[in-house]
Amino acid sequence: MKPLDLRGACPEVPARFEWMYENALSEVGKMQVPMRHKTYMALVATLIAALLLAGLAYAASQSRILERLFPSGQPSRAAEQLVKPVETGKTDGPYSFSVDEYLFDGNELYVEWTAKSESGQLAFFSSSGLDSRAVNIEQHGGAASLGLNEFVPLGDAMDRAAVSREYHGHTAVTLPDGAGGKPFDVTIRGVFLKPVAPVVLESAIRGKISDRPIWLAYKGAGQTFLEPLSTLTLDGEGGRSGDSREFDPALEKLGCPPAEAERTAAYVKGLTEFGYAKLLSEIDLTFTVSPDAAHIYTTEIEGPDTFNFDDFSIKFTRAEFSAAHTLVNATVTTRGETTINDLEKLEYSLRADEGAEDLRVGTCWGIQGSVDGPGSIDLTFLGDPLPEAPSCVLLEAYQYPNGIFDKATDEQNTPVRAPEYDITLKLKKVP
Amino acid sequence: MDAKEFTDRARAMKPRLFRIAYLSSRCYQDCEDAVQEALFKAWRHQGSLRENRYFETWLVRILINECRLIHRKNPAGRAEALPEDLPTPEPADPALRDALRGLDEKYRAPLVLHHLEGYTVREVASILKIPGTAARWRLEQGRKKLARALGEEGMTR
Repeated sequence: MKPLDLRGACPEVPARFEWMYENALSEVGKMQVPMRHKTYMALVATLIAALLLAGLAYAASQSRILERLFPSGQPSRAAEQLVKPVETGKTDGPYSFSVDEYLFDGNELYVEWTAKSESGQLAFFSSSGLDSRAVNIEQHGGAASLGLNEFVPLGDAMDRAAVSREYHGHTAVTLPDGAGGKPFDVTIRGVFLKPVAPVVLESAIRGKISDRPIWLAYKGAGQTFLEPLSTLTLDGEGGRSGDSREFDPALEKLGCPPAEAERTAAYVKGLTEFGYAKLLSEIDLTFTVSPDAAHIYTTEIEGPDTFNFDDFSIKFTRAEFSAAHTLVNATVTTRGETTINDLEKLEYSLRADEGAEDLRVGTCWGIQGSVDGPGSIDLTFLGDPLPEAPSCVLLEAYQYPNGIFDKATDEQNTPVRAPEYDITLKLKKVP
Repeated sequence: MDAKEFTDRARAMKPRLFRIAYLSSRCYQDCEDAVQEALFKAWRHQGSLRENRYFETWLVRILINECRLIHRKNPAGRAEALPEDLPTPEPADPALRDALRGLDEKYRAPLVLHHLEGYTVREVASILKIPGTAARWRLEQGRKKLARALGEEGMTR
């Protein structure tokens, strides 16, 4: 497939746009950043609670998976039972890679691993996703998963800053078809590279321009990450005004082979061939995941799954509350004169059982049809797991006057409760 | 994030924000309005940015939402209101621009973010708040729809 080149669709940045942009930025410096009293108090309360609960959680469990899945420190008994130690590892010279533990809840598989370098030289590490010949796996790259386009430094100082010789990482995948209750093998590959291309710190990029492979280093959550980039244009001086960064299109093309193992091999080959790095070590680890039927459970919808209102209907296809994940799927379809635009004002807040706190869920939308006409929206609610399977889930409706897409940034867009659209979904726990 | 860091990082994104807004807007004036409003909103609501490393994708998301809002308020677009001495900027390939603008937003945004701006599929999914599989699917569908709009030979451009 030929790469799609869209550059001809845009003109150069016009002078009047430059002028408008600089004016807007100068205005920014004069504006106050509002911080509401309620937000501030909530922040203080959250920090205190997090400090207290973090201590309790650490005392209750040494499992890194449970610490990630249950930041509030209250894992269910079932989740604790589902954590299985693996302790499979290999060493290749100064480099070692080990899988420490996993949790499989019937659909979601979480794996904790450790990469180490005893070499005195700087190495970059990343891991593949998980691969299996026995089961169907979807790599979903949860926020804590390290993707192959992100590396961590190991083993030595980088730009005079100390770098740890050890990194504890996490990979999460979905088995959409489950495992059928049978044990299955999965493989993960750890990759250690010696950087060849220069490393550029994000904090020091201004005033430099690069049009050859570089590693861009940036900080996130106390950890330094590195991205391979083909060009880095850092400001408009020197006759060039382009992007701040660009991923290598050649590398991007390599990111699509269907099997994870092929994808990883192709990507690493690309990184070495295109001058980013030399391969120091690749370590494959295979381990067996044994579904623990005694502690695996989920929930199914019991009773009505479709709810009809004057302007739309909503049909739920899944409401899974397992020991380690929360997933609700529904399709909202317009009725009468209602358009997709009208539906974009509606948002549901989820609560498990009466009196419980709102669930922390992320909502994904997939719109079918034109926004100005009739159609449907596929809704996916993904959330943190609950300590117990609920007997029902309450969906409380809110209407955002300007639509939900702008809710985070529009102070005038205050949600209004719309109880006429509330839904109660009854659930049953199934093994 | 203080004002200096904000303006430095936002300034580095100027060409990128221009291109995204330009292809997501029905007219040039909407493009300018969307970018300006996105910058103001990002500054006022930077508390919603959890980690500074996500500044770029966060600002792009705000901009796309702003383009969507402007489009919703005025679906037909408005007449160009540029003074005569400031001609509307034209790209090298106006047909490609028009074909992209003619796509449904759910296909156009992934194409622009991935094929023009170089974001990975995972980053596209994160910016648009859709699952990775949906982002991949929309990219594939978007390519097909763009090819149809341009004629198959247009995809070799």
